[in-house]
Amino acid sequence: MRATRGRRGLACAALLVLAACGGGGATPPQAPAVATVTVSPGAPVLTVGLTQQLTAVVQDVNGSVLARAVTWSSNAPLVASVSATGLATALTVGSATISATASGVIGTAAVTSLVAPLITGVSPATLVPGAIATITGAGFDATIANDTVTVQGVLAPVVSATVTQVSFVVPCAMSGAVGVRVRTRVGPSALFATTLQGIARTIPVGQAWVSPDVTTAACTELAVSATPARYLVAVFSNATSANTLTDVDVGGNPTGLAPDPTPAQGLQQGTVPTDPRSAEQRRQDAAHYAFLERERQWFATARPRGITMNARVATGAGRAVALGDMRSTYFTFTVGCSDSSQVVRGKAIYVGTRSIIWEDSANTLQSASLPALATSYQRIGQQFDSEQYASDSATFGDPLRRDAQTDGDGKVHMVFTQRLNGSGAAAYVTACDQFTRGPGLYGSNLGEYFYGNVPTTATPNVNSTASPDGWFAFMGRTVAHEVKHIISMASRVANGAPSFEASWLEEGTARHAEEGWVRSRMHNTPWKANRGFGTAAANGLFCDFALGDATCLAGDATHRPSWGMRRHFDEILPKLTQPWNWSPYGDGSGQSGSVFYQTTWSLVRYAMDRYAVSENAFLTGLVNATSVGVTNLSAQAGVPIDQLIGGWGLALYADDYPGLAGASADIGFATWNLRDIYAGLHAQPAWSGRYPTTFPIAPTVLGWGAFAQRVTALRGGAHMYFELQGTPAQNQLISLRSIAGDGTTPGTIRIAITRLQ
Amino acid sequence: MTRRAQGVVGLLLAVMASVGCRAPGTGAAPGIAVASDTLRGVVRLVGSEPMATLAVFPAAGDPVVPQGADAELLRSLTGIEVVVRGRVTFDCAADAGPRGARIFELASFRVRAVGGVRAVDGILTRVDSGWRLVTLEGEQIAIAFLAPMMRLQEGARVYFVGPFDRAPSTYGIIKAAVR
Repeated sequence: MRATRGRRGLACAALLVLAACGGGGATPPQAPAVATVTVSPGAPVLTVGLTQQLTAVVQDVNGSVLARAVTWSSNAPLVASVSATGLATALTVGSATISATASGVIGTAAVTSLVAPLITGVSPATLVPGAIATITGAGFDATIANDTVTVQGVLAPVVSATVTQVSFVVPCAMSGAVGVRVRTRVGPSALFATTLQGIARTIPVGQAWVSPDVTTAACTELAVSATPARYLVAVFSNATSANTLTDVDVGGNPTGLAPDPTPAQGLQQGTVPTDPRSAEQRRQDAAHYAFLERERQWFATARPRGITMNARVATGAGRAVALGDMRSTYFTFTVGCSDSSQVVRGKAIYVGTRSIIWEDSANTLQSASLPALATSYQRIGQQFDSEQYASDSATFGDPLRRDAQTDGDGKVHMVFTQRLNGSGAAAYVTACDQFTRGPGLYGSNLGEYFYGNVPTTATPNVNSTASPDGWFAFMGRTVAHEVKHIISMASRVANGAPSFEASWLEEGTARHAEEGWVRSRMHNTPWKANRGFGTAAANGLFCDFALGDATCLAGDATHRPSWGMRRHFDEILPKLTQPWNWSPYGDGSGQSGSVFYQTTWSLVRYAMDRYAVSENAFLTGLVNATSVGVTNLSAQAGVPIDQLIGGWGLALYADDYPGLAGASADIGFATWNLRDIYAGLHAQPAWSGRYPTTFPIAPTVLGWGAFAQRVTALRGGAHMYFELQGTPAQNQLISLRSIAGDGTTPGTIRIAITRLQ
Repeated sequence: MTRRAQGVVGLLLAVMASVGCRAPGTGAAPGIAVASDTLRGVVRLVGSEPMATLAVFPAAGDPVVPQGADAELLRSLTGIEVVVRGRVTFDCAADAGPRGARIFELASFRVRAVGGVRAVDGILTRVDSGWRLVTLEGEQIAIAFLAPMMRLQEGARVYFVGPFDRAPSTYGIIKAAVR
């Protein structure tokens, strides 16, 4: 510690005066004045009974070291004494200031005198990972931050401390005899021998375990035998927000203070993952995102304007419609519900038993002059009337449930308009159509409406939604999707629910509307049929990915070409290749592509396959609930959301895992065979570039024993996969700890494990 | 405002919201004559895309629809519990819910909890060699260990989950740093 003398300035001034008055006469040289005395170490911590040699450095104002006699003293000699040579001795617990004085200038050291930590007991006698234990003894530091507790070398978070007691959270260490140690600023205690007993979990092949809380997630001890074994470990976040991120270190058999972890796969390596989407998909995603941004702007600014109704427009809702009738329909997509300034003038080109199709007279392509387009419209209408109305009704409820309170015409209206093209949205439904027109709702059409885009080129191309045939292939299942939204909104209004469904679950279950129709009418796939990729002849998933295949087209002329289930299995790819980065609770900030549609679909598919009595009861229950989101889904499944997210995570990888027979329903999708589906895509020349491996999920492979992996930016509801494989020599510990190295476990972290071999 | 007081205000607003709302532009009914209303609830995006609506759901009662410049920031907080401050109105975001939903003129908000665990938001600030979270009230909270990803977010509005006597490992970005 360094000190300066206050009179230094006066001395300098005196020297200057002397120099100025010297007049060239000889002046005896002056000894340099002492400016500072620095004692080191400045704040030593000494164990009672031990000594510490202190040193004092004397310097002048220029920093030059001076040879000066130093006098040592202590202000509390009963706590710490000091010899004439600066040897400090700690005598009792306490604090003392040791001073070194040279030519009246003083430097000091603050000595803390402590006793070395001594452990006399640890309670309880058998430690349990995650539980609180207490060390008794002496010499501990009353400041928590100054006590470091380790159990078998593994850091244990201290939760309270006095000089005689330290309580800590028992860390993740292997069951058996362990040594407990406390380290204070003085140094470490001797090891105190005790025992630790974790729960050694035995997970049979094909079975699963999901941690119910963070305490059990923090430390898993797998009971293993010395035979080849393979386990899938899914570390996941139970946060229910896509933008809530968690970092965690995953450790195997931790035996010491955390080593520097090895980055696991993913963003934490500082690499930018390859965007698995096609250029066309990226363009569409960008357009979709841009649209959403416009919507956000609208909600923030336009709605409060209360734009007045355009008196010239009368929609004619409720009147009987005949083919060729013209009707004006408010188009609120870009302006919002309160605005009636945008009107689509449509012509009734299809009037069926349950639907009416309105073709915007401003569309570039008109069905009257393009037979292929007329056919596509007709097929859309007939498909809905004969199949999708019944399919959606059975699965979710009647879309015309509130028809008597809306337009009373017994029809679902499909308005196909080019105004939607380029927006990024293929189709949409707006809740305002459920309400009577009036202030704030001048744009309501009061009826069961959805709005879709249209083809813009007459040239046939089944692989382009701009062509009538390609548009039909895409729009066919979109109708089932959009009508599900109508059902959902009508049900919630009819039930007096306080809110519409959370968007992530609303869109995910709308994918189930598509699935319900596709499976029942095209794939002929019952619930829990475990259907794979199939073949052209079987009219299965293969045909959804090979729109122009002649066998597919000939085999099901009623429905083909159709995207079928293509979006479900293809557009979930980012979730499969970067599972930590995609949440079912919505795309995160800056993410695009609405990946959550199919991610949530997959979660709900798992929930139904595993827990539902019937698909229809499950989905109808969701629609008719008054709760929303996680609460709603968890209630329908009858299990906590942690169980759903954990089990689903395992199933995404373990479903139909090669060689895994008799697997529990906990780790599979009973309706679909994911392994076969993605192997099928990999085998298709047209798709093998996008699916370069037989299965897109690639866990980080680890051997048994010690390992250290770091997971960063794990999104809420997302997973990071590890596969433990080899022949274990002993039980295996898996610890999950904060990357800060303080021994704690982030509260959002959970773990799910299944044995694959 | 204490947590208890916030709860009382939240309940009051919930009761008021359940009374009903009027569509924008009708009548002359004024907004509630309170300079600053407070509501605690979970941010949710509801309805079908792309016409989904952002709303804040109190523990009891109908949701409110926040509007205003800061409402955009709530987009990144779906699923998270916040306290919103501003003014609840009689105006109705009629398409936001089956019973309508009151429009809440949002002045400011604070993140309060994630999954039931306390969370704090503020501006991420570098002080000497360490990091601090400076809350909107000016409180400075030392961050024992900052997640690597967040080290690129100096000046950003962020939130951290969990007690601050330990290093927070769960976090989110409300408004990214401008570079």
